[in-house]
Amino acid sequence: MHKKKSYLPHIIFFCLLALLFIFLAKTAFLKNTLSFFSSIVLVPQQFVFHVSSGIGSMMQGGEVKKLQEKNRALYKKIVAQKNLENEVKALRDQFATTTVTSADLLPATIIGSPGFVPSVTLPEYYIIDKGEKDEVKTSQAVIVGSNIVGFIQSVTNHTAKVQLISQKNTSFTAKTSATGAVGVVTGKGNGDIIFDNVLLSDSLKVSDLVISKGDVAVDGNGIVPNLVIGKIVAIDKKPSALFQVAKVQSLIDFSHVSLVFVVIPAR
Amino acid sequence: MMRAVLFFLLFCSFFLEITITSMPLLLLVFLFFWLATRDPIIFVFAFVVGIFFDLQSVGTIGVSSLFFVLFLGVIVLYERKFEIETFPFVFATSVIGSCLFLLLLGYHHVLEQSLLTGLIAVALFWGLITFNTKKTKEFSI
Repeated sequence: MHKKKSYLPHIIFFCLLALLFIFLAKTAFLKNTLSFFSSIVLVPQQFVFHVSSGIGSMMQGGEVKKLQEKNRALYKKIVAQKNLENEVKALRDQFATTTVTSADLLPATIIGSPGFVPSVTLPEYYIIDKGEKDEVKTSQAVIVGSNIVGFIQSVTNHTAKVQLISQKNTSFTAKTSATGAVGVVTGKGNGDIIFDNVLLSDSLKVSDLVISKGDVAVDGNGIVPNLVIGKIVAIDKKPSALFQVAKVQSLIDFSHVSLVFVVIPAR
Repeated sequence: MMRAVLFFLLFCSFFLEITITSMPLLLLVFLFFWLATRDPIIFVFAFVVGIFFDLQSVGTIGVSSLFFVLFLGVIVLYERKFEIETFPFVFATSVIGSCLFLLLLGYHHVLEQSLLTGLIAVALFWGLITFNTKKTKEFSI
């Protein structure tokens, strides 16, 4: 009778090894070693993301040409040029914005934005090509123009993960620009953002902009004031409730962003 | 030939999963690698690819490796008692595995993504059976 081989030792060995990595991941030696491998994978990752986002943006604009797909070399050139144009446009817009003046802005290219259906559903997070080596630290704000898109959740030497403001567990203080009503902006996932904990005595208006109130730590990292979060699209005010709630819509289309700026505290 | 295809799929899935999609394609590839080869080398790949996945997606290093190895471990242990080369098993394993993986990483659209992964798994399994049947016929001729 054929006896089935036991793979239990393999399973136990690799599980223990994975657990060891989880515990040792923060140590300098492992961090530096893994960072070296990460920098190798970074190049093809950037290439794959740029090609796929190029395809997505071309399809979005209805400019897909079958002949372009056939000519691989020409296609690559077009994608590269398009990315360059977007980068230049974003840089020009960003440095023309005067909201963040006291802080240094670090341009960062998005190299990963996984979502259920690429370019259709919202990404779960962004991976940017700047990390600890570029002075990126956790909780720093990430912006596009004067709009906040999220903040740094975790960092490696070469890359960083950006948590979007629409994601669950995102919460920070904000105010409305016209009426000055103060509340808490909370992400609900799937692109939904609510402006909660607003006193019933405060006034909320549809189409009013919600801006950050400022939440900067002693080290200078955090969300600077007056960054645009979005505009109010619906208000839920019940006399029996403790607070009034508004639904906020971001002015940024998270699925089509390719270049962002990390707000680095002024040295 | 089959191994080359599986390695190519593993390579593609890895880059797709760290750049544009949140669907757990790597889990599918590991499942099919095991179904097609029964080679314990897959545990090494599951571990290494998991480390790189966490590294490139800036997650906690080792978490995905642990999940991939446990996922394969459950399949291997299940195989000792039951038949795994069936459509219901492939569908159920990929749906449950995807669901748990997406919940672990805190992603959205968990149900939709898991069901779609299950359907892709069934389609790939059908392809795998067809490929194997053709190969057997060629040898018998």
